[in-house]
Amino acid sequence: MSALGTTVTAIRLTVNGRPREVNLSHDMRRLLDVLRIDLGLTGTKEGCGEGECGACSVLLDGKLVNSCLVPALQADGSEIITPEGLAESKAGKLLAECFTECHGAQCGFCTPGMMMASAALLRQNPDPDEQAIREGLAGNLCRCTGYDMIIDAVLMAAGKGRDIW
Amino acid sequence: MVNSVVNPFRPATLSEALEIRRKTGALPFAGGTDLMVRYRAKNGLPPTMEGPLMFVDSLSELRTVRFSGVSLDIGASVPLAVVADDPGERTAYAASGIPADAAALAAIPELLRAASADLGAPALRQRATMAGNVANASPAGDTVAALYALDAAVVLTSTDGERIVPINKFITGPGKTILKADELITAIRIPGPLPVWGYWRKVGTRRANALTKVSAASSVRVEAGRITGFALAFGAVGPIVVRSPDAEALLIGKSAADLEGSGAAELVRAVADAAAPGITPIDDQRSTARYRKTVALNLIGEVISSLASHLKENNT
Ligand SMILES: Cc1cc2nc3c(=O)[nH]c(=O)nc-3n(C[C@H](O)[C@H](O)[C@H](O)COP(=O)(O)OP(=O)(O)OC[C@H]3O[C@@H](n4cnc5c(N)ncnc54)[C@H](O)[C@@H]3O)c2cc1C
Ligand code: FES
Ligand code: FES
Repeated sequence: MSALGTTVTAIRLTVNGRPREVNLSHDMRRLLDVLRIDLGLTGTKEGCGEGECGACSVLLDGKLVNSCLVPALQADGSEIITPEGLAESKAGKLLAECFTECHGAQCGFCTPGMMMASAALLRQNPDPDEQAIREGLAGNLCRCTGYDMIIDAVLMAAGKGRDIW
Repeated sequence: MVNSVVNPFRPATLSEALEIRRKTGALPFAGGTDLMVRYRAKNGLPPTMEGPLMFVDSLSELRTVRFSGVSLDIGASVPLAVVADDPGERTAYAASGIPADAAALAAIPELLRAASADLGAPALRQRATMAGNVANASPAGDTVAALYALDAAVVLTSTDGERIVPINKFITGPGKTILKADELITAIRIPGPLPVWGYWRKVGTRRANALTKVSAASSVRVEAGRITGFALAFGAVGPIVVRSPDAEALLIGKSAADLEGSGAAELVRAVADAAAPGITPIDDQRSTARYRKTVALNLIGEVISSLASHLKENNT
């Protein structure tokens, strides 16, 4: 620590439960690029790159964020859950099952982000009504499904899941 | 090889941050939801901003919410998810050890909560801050319009001390403020007594992540059944958020009865006529001047009728 704050370019993250150390190739490198390029976790997608589509959604210390807007340096020391991590959990498995059953995924590009946002919502509100689901997923765009089938999938997951979120 | 071109400062305390700001003028970076988009590069690449830059998001001094019993100070870096009262956010925040107790959070005026809840979408609000919205000084800034209607002030701090500037003096034009190179916004202050009623309406292309075409914000104080304070602000209808003092004056002294029946239509018209000259929108990619002006003036009717129902329900 210098007198004028720290200027570190190596960061530590816990990603899907595993401690990782990353040397940033640029000190404003986005969390999205660290996950996809440096750590090879390509389940996190880049859609708009401007915070509008939610394809890059991850959990940062339990909170849903757009990883395209977060400099990795700001996430130093935090815990990240990506779609890969979610997929391994009970919650992720159930969401995948319900998305499949309800045809909540077509091209699938939005799906990892949709599931991250669904998981974040269900953690706070395990019994959401349609309105609450629409609000929880408001930052996630889908160009294929027309949303209704995604809403159905989340409603089904909420019905089956109860205490797994 | 490590390529450190921006070298963002990561101060641990406010006093360290103020010292850095004084010595280097480093650009404050809170949630980054404006800055990361403004300096966005191609997919896969870091933003193009140059330093010096300073992260202020995690400074605990900027994350407090304090209610004195009269006025309310919302820290510069409090996430808008907390202000918006997104599911679970306030409870988690109050429990996190930050000086922001449930009573202080509950004192956040409904008008400001509603405006924050209309800003962006849940993930964006986890990072975005009110200070960032205010410093960005967009006439379409959602919390900004609400803060104008609340007569809010901006608490500015430097190593020399503190100054408190009303929001309409702080913002001087689109993207322009009087923030000095050595200052940080440390809090947004809502002066008391806090209003009993508020109105918020945002008109955009869709419910989430949509910039505002027109917004209307209003706050009211009532004593013994009569309106003693009335504020009316419009967003995105001019280079800065506008208040309509001439229109506001027409409601002072009025009671529920004055806002109903035949007199009401006349009152709405008079308020709209008084507000009209201040509403000078432009055509842009989001909307047209004509649409904006028409909507803004129509919203006056809605403000007055919902105020009438509030007064009636509360029997004041
Ligand atoms: C997808 C998307 C949707 C959006 N939707 C809306 C919307 O509906 N309504 C709306 O109003 N805005 C919207 N925005 C804009 C933006 O999210 C808001 O303006 C937000 O409040 C900015 O806060 P921030 O902390 O992210 O700011 P940053 O990007 O960190 O900073 C913005 C500005 O504030 C300055 N700043 C930050 N903190 C301080 C401080 N403590 N002291 C001094 N200066 C400071 C910075 O230097 C910078 O100039 C949207 C943005 C995106 C990407
Ligand atoms: S890629 Fe991040 S929100 Fe679209
Ligand atoms: S399934 Fe194709 S974008 Fe949603």
